[in-house]
Amino acid sequence: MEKTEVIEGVGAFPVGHWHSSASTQPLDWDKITTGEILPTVPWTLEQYENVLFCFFSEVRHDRYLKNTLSGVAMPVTALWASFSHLSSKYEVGPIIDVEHHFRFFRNLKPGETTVLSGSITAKYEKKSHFYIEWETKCHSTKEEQIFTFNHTIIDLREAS
Amino acid sequence: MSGSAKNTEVYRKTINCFLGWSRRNVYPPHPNIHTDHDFAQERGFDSAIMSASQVVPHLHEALIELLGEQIFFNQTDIRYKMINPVGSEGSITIIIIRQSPTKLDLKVNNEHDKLAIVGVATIV
Repeated sequence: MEKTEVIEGVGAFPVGHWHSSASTQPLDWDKITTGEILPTVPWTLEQYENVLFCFFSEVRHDRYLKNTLSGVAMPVTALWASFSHLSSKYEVGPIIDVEHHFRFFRNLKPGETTVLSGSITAKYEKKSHFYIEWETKCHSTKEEQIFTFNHTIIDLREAS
Repeated sequence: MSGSAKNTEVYRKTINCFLGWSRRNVYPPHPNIHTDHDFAQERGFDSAIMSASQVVPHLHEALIELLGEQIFFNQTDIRYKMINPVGSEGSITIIIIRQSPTKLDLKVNNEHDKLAIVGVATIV
């Protein structure tokens, strides 16, 4: 198969990982606990990031691409918010994305400041796979619900 | 949503996949199963596979097309599982079946006609 030339900087897609910091710790399935509260963090999806998501998935619809205050964020940005929220506490390694369960209460507007909060809702081992579930709630700064996202992943850790 | 019969297919669309963007991703955790054919083949896949975040937007769009923005963004409960991979040079077929006026079965088949994503949308 033909090798693709690697061009430094092209394809960088850092959306959702800006909460990582020195205090972020590697995700350790053994140490994580059901009911554990995840940090409450501010989260803003900028319009250029919304456009990146369109580019990423090749969904090109005016509702996402117009650069106005009435713009709409792609629903998949809630998935990215969920990963971003978990990343606010844990550095997530290799995983398999298993299940998404979400509902919007209204559409997210690119550029608006929101707040993410939630907790680890379950962890379990099944057929030698290590599952983690968490919930992310997204509110406006005026406490208005925007979406909830319940996420299940398999942590591809080595069995201990 | 048009039509009223139960168990009626109300949406079907096939989309060719692509992975041009991710192949150039030089940032960690590259290489991975979404960015590198060799890496994916070493782990038992035919080739690099699509990431969920590239595939599910098309399922979301199908629902918005079917229900309208106002219903989709008004507490419609959406739940689905990813159960089989989609090849980076394969295709997806999105199929939506109405079970009742408020319940839709969601299916995404991969290029081998195997179920890749299965779920339910419940309109409030």
